[in-house]
Amino acid sequence: MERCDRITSLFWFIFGLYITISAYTFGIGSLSNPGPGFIFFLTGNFISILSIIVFVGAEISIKSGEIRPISWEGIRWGKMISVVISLVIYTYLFEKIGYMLSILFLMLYLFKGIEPQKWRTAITSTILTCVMVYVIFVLWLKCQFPRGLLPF
Amino acid sequence: MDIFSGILTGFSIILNPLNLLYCFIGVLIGTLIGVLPGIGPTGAIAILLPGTIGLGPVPAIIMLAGIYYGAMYGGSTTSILLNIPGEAASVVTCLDGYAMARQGRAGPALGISAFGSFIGGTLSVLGLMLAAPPLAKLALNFGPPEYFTLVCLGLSILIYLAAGSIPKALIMASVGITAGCVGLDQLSEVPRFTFGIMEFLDGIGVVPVAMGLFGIAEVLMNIEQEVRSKDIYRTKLKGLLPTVKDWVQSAWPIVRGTVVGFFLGILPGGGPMISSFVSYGIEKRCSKHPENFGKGAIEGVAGPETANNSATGGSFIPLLTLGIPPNAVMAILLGALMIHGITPGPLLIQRNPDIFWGVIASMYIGNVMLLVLNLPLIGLWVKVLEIPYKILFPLILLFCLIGAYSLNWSTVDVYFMIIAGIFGYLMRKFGFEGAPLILGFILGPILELSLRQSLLMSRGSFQIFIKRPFCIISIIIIIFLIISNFIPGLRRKRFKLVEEAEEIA
Repeated sequence: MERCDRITSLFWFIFGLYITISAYTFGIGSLSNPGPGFIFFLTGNFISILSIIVFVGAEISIKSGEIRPISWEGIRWGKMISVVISLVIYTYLFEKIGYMLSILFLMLYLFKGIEPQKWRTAITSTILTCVMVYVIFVLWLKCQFPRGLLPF
Repeated sequence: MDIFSGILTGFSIILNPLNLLYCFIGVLIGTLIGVLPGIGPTGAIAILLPGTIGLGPVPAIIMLAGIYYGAMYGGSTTSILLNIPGEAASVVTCLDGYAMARQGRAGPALGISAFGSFIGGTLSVLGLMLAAPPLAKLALNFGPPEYFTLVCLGLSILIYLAAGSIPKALIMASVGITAGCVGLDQLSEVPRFTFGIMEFLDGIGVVPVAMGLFGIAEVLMNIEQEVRSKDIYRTKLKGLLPTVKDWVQSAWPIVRGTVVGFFLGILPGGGPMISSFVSYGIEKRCSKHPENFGKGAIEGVAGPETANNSATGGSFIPLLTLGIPPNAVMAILLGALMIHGITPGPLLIQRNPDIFWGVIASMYIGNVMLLVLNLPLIGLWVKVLEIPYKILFPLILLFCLIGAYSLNWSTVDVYFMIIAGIFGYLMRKFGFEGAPLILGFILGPILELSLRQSLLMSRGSFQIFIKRPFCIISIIIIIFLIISNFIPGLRRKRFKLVEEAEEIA
């Protein structure tokens, strides 16, 4: 954890600095008449100062040997990234091919591709999900989703 | 409107069949969310919020409130039968609840948990009903300095009670405030951090952020390792009604749990999880046999389960009377009220009595519904526990995606939710919590406006914050919280609480 804190504190330091610099462009104003950048000036500086505290705390812990490791072992990065990519592709296709087809492809992938399941289970779960979405969101809640390639 | 006519109005609203139906749907979904590990009430309310846009404000808020207190009931089931808390407020119930199940006393554990929840939940609604109207009257005298110090107090308490590092929690709260202030400036209408995206002019939506942080990030945390099937402790559930001895042992823990939960619920930064931990600690200290705690003491189930339900009623007080959410769930409910065109605050009771009294009356009815749902139907919830996570997580993701899109019928919100989800996952891995961020996000605009108005009023002098009694009290508490972190005894106590929570989790 402490080793990672060094990297995250650097990230937050730069982030805080960016917010502070941007605050100037919005206009900080004065204490008697605070401008639109006033709050960002405060939060930006605060984040940068806190990131230094986190960094110093991490350095002290590392030097004294009190390190709590983050468990990266056994993380299925491939599966995680593929889930995120599938969500992005779904969002991209949602308005292009319509809600029903995009949900169908996404669900089939998530049911079958991420955790191993029988095809029959995956297909049944996908179809049931599509029916549920149609009944709840389209028929009941009258949501206006893009139909795309299908007539419903 | 006095309290008596108010509550009559409330019951006339909730006894409308449609509102009754939405109350039932809310508590049913809440129990389901509570029973299912892997999604909490914060995520569930955020996910389902867009679906309520088509409903009127009264049924929508009744349903969302039902999810919140319903989840507290359901959460104990998994803690007792699986040793896995259904949601954070039931973490402590694992200790004695699961031990009771192992001793063949799962029935009384579930029973006392349901009865305690019912008593705590109902009494806290009574407290809410009695305390909110006078508090709202008092809050009418509040100006920007009071609001500013109150927001600072809420953030300070939440950060003090944060499970990990205080500087990290402060960073998260600051990031939340920054993100919450994105969009057109309320006073000068200057666009800030909009990057030319039209949707950002109105600010970043709280719901996509909450869905990302508590929905998508939660799923990513759960699927990062291979999803294993749960080991349900199989025992024949019998004797759900606690015996006279059980009642005698649980009576005082239920009373204490109600009081502790209610007051910690009101406190900004408090909430059901903190209440359950504090209640457990109190019961252990009050018990003549503290050595039995962790080995199946019924007091260790009755107290915390009562406290976490009692806290839900208390949590509504600052939201409905001051417009300030005391925790992440209430922050999302604030967003829900605003989506429906209602501004919570001191004038809510006068301007929207249907919402205020309708929600209160719905909580009375909802608690009765939950008692019926949780005792005779316990077998059904045990069956629900057998649904594998590999079936659940695609559904959670889909509800997040559809929910985010339904807000503005725009994919920008969906992309933003996915980004918030990845951010939330990475931050959790690095020891940064989501709760301070979401509270800062919601309170950011209130904080900014009240600070700038206060400084305008005082012509730049910070003395305005030490001239008003409420501000002075708030500042004293904030200073105490900061200093207490440097007092070794208090610091050790805080870390001990954190360590206990981490051990159980």
